[in-house]
Amino acid sequence: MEKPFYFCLWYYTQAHQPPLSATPAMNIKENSTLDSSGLPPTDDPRDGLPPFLNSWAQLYTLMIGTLVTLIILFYLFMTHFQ
Amino acid sequence: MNYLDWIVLSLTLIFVVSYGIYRSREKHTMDSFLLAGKSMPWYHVTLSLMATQASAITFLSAPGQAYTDGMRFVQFYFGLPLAMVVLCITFVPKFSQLKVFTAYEFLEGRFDLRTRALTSFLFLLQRGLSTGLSIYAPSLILSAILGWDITWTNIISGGIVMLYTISGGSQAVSHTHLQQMAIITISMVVAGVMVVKFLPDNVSFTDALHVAGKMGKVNLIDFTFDLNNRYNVWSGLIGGFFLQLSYFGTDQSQVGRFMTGSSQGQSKLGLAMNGLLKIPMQFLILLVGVLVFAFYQFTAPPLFFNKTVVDNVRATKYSAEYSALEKKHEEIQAEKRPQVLALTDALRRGDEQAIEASRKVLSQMEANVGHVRADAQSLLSKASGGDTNDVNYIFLRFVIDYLPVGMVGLLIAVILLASMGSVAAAYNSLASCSVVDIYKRILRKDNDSHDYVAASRWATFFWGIFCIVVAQYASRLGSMIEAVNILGSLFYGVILGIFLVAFYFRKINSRAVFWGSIIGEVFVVTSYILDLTAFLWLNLIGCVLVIAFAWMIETIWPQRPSSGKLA
Repeated sequence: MEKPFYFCLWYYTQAHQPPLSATPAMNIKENSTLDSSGLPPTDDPRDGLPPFLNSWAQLYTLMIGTLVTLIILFYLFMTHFQ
Repeated sequence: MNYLDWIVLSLTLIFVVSYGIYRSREKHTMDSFLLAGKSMPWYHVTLSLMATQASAITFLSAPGQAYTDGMRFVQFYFGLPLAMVVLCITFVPKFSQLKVFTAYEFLEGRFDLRTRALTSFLFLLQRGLSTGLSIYAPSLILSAILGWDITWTNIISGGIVMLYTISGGSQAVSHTHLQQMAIITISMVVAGVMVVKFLPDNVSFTDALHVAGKMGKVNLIDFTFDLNNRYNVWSGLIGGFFLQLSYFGTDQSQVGRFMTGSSQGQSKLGLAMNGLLKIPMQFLILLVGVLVFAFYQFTAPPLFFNKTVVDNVRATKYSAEYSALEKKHEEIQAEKRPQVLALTDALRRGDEQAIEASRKVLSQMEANVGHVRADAQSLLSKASGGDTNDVNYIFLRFVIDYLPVGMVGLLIAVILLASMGSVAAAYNSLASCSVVDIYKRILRKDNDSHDYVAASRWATFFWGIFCIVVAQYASRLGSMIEAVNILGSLFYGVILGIFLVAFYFRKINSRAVFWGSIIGEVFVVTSYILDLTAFLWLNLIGCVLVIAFAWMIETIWPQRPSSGKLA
């Protein structure tokens, strides 16, 4: 269920974004003193992703799942001690 | 404070500052000074985000809030993980791909220079003033509890941060954040364990929670939808989402932290982990407050936790009246203790009737305590005219009165470190915006990197002095927390509105968003001056107004997009 949601959010973002290849009014990276090759690559979709997950969508689902779990645990904690 | 406390306090501060300077001792470029060379792993990003958000007030006020109001404040953070998801999907890729230094740099590519300059100016104004308050708030409390001179406390705490932020820039800020969060977390856990140890021998940790729960302090979740109720699940999820999205996505003090990630993935993971860890962390801080409440059910608490105000009233004609209230308070507390022990006993036996009977009696006694405290506050207000809200003083008073020598110094260090963490990130972000958005973009376009690093150091120095001066005058602004939140609410909504238009409304151009944001800001300030709504709603109102006005202006007075623009 989560994939269509993330796809829609991603698609909407991309569709309403100006293309990065367009010539910007400002010089992109105008302030950097390093050239782009000196910067770490940012286009690897798995970069930074924990090894036990296959995609960023799974991480986001995990976050939302954790939030729901925390709310349930807090509720149980409250009812137990009240 | 004891000598040992002073030694622990001094060594902790010296260690953290020296470590930060040592780890950032390289010769700096603009990248390394303002964005730590984009070299930080995700855990640095996470801890830096958390240290920036957690001010001294978080560790002073939150336990006090749990003591008086229960744990419901935790719901305020429910929107945070959702905001982190949106940031990871939308904001981080865009900022990373454009390799911007400041969030506002992106706006020039999307709109024009004046929109960038306007947003950056709004940020500088808001962040400069609120950082002054962030320095002042813990100084006020420390000076009240420990008798320190407030002017010197402001100068020293603000000055130490200037020292390592000027020296090592963003790298020093990130490295000190790591140490600060480690020391803060360990100290708060130790403080929680010690509160449990101070409970009577026959009262366990779970007994304490049961007692607090029966007295309404474990009120973590409220599913009722009520616009007048500040903390419930829905206000946390919806209101908290907008607040956290604008704070983390458009406030350079946070954008500057996640942009230090060594790659886009590291920044995203850092934000995601912040979303996962923040709520449990806030829960634990509130739990410490609830345990302090349970502790004071077995040991008589002071009638009023701010000792300085009490000492002042003793020197006035109201002294006898206050002493009478203290005596009455002590009597109620003495009557309460056997009832609390009876409740604990009934809980162990599982005797529901006895539990309910004890709970009713205790609720009545707690209400009586509330009446006496209200009378005392009204008397204190009459006598000194000062602030009679002692929520921020509850935890620190407990620390001073009960924790052993050495731990007091460590917890004072925790408060100062928490303050330094958020102030350091603020100094660095103020310097970034001043140099990148104004000095380099408008005044000196083609200087070399060393000139910009030097300018960044001077900008940090300037903002450091500015914030300390604001801190000296902050006492005239009333309640600190409220003052900080009001300041943020006046600007955050409008800034978020500009960014949302940039991201999601492709057809709206620079002229419309510029005038839309000016009109939106005027409306927000007018609403605040005329007191049309509670200030927390100004975030949402500002955001919606910018989008609505920009859309209307674009519809009525369309602007042809220039070929050179990104839009």
